[in-house]
Amino acid sequence: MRDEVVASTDGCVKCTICEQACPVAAVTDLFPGPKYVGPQAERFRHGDSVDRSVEYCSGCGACSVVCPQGVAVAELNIRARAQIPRSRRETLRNLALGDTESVARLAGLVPGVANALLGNRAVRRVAQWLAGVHRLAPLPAFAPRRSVRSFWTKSPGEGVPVVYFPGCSTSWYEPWLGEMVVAVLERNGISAQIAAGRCCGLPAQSNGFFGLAARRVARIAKELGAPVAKGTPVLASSTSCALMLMSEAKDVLGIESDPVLRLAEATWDVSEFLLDLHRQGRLDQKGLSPISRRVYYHPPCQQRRHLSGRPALELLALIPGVEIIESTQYCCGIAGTYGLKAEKYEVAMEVGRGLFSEIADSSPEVVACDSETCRWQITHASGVPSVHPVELLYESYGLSGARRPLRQDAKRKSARR
Amino acid sequence: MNRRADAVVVGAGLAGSIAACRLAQAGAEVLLVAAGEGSMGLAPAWLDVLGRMSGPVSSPLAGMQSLPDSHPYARMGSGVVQEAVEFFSSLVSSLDYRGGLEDNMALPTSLGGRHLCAMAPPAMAAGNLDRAGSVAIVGIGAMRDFSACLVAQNLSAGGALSAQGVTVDFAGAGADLGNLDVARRIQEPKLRAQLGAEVLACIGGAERVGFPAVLGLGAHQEVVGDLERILGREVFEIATVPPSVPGLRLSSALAVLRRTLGVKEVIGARVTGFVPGPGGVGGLRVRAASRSQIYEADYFVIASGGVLGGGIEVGHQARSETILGLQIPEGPLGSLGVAVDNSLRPLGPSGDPVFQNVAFAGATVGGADPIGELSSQGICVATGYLAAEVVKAEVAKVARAK
Ligand SMILES: Cc1cc2nc3c(=O)[nH]c(=O)nc-3n(C[C@H](O)[C@H](O)[C@H](O)COP(=O)(O)OP(=O)(O)OC[C@H]3O[C@@H](n4cnc5c(N)ncnc54)[C@H](O)[C@@H]3O)c2cc1C
Repeated sequence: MRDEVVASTDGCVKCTICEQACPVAAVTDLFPGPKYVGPQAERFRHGDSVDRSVEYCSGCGACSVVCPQGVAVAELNIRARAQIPRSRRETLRNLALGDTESVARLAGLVPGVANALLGNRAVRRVAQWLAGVHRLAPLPAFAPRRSVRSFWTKSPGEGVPVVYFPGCSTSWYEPWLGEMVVAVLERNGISAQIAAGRCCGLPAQSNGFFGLAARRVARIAKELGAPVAKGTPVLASSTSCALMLMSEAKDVLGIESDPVLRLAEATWDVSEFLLDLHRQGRLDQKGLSPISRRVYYHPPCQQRRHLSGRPALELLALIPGVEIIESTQYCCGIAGTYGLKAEKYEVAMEVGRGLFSEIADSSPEVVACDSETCRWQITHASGVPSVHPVELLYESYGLSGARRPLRQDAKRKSARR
Repeated sequence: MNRRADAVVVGAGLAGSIAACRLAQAGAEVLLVAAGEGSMGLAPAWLDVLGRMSGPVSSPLAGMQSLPDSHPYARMGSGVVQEAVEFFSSLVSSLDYRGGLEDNMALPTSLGGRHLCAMAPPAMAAGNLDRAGSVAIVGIGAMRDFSACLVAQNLSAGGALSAQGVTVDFAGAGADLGNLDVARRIQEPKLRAQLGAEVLACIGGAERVGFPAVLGLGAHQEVVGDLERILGREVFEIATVPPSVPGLRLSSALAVLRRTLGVKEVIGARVTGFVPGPGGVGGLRVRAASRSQIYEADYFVIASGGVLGGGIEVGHQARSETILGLQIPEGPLGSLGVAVDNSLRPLGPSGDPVFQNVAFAGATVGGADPIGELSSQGICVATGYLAAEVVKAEVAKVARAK
């Protein structure tokens, strides 16, 4: 079968537009740029690894977005990165970061202990030395079991059915966000059935474990097969999960099975779905009460690859009283698990520097951003609390019950020092 | 899933940006969709309007009078071209373009040739070759694609000018530096001070100093200012091969303008076709990550970049426009484009408009030979502007009817 991703290299006219857009090459000589390691080096690879220069690609996808010739630059580079031979220690570290679901299932049993360990400076120093996870990197805190339970036991209300796919972050770190999403949907006559807590496979893919990633996606596609066959939309509040289900499973992992392709068609980013409701005149706009707050909105790099514009921004603009400052920066640097790694932490912080200083200059009360890892990075680097855009809708609707624990932010801030 | 706007603009290049900004300024709700970024970062930021016909053109405005009727400039009239260029200058006033349509200026190319253009940013315009005196051309050792000696040799051979080429090291340089690498590093005040000192030591009495166009991105003015202070004379920039740093400055300035004027945009998504509607086109089919969406509007501007930008596909036998599937008349590769009427509507084989609510702009418009005539940016600006004017009038008509 013709591989569209590899075939797309023929479209490259060496115009350098991707080089101009790459946020990593802009800040470090360690990465020679997407064209060089992508369409150019691909001609020599034949599926093998020829050198390590692609290692510093963060997978943010800016290159694929800006390429006018339709070259799948990022997809090529993510695949090539997975082929780099690794030491055993590196493999173990990458597995710990890539198999988020297993790690979360284990640590989620004893969240208090896990958080105490991860918040401990000495432990983090050892972890950096032993496991290559940077001691300052913004690791999220596991949610208390009580709030996890409260999310999972929510029963779907009346309304038009959808499936809500929570992914790892909502399942184990931010269950209150899941509650808010479900409540906001319900408020608009949508009844969300919560899918099982699964990893979408993206962290495994970006850490080079394509087999594991493919199994993760296939399992989700199987579990959601019945509702998807009935035409039920699948919504994700994590932009990376949505991207994985929408396109990366096919374009990076190369999965072309029917269930996965059908799931791709059914998947929506939650903001895109809500905005679509609004366009159809079905969103309760009158119910949005004023919040007077200065909000800085940053669309994550993964969200841009949904190729749907900035739906969250348009939703936030519906909330009366909110003053929105729109980000002009491309990337916060974290790129999922990239910025957690000891050798890449500084690069990631440098990539995000423009964003962090723009945030500091515009002194918002809160940053809204659709991706959890970006939110953790942004709060870590800027000290400003960050929320998912739906959290602001939830507040504006005057809904209550779910609450983001304040100490989460405080904890992340202290880790920075 | 459908999206709706007053007007949908396809393409994020110079033509699409001008059309989108003009429409948004007029209060229209504009949705801009593009498969990728436009090609501004590949072209020097100078504004070619008309530089060559049978020979060099000294005045674009005068030259325009003798273009064939089917040429876009002739269709719209030189008055509209002039309005468009004025609109462009005021839109990107932060870049402070110099020159005008009365007289072309001759600027040095990266090989030391003479390029005729109507307008250019100040640092490029300062390289005007018709000014007398001696110049020093500075090369940076680690930049492979710019040879100061070659530029100087060719400029001197041209006659009027005495040019001397020098090549210096750039502090903090690796073995191999691209244009962007230098442009980013030179924004560091210490590094450019060092560079300035090195250059000062070897340029003798030259009255002006030309650098490859890598003098900073966001901090361009500071970089030029510092170098002029250190060198005690005027500094200018010489166009390079891509990536073009001045082109990127223009591209970012327009991106900021699109955003601040409220243009909604989706970059990275390809338009794969259209659905018919009242004026001919009802909506454009746009490929998102996993689903296609229809972008509906009353009016559409297609600024899809011609053969190079992806707007026209050239096969062995036939040539077609990629969005509406229009057939493109045979011709030399550099002049392939959609035949349009005076309102930039596409014409069918019979010579009548086949879509009433579509205006074409930029390199996809036929009737010109932008590379041969040196008219590329002028055509983008003029057709982008005119497309917006046409759409503005139509949107107003629709609004009145409602
Ligand atoms: C490879 C290359 C090299 C060039 N080199 C030079 C040079 O040396 N000197 C010089 O002066 N100029 C150069 N140019 C610029 C050239 O002159 C351009 O033709 C001119 O600037 C056209 O601008 P435009 O706005 O019409 O289109 P472009 O700037 O090309 O923009 C076209 C836009 O349309 C989008 N698009 C195309 N098809 C679709 C579709 N189906 N769906 C959605 N979006 C679509 C593209 O993604 C892009 O955003 C170069 C251009 C290219 C592509």
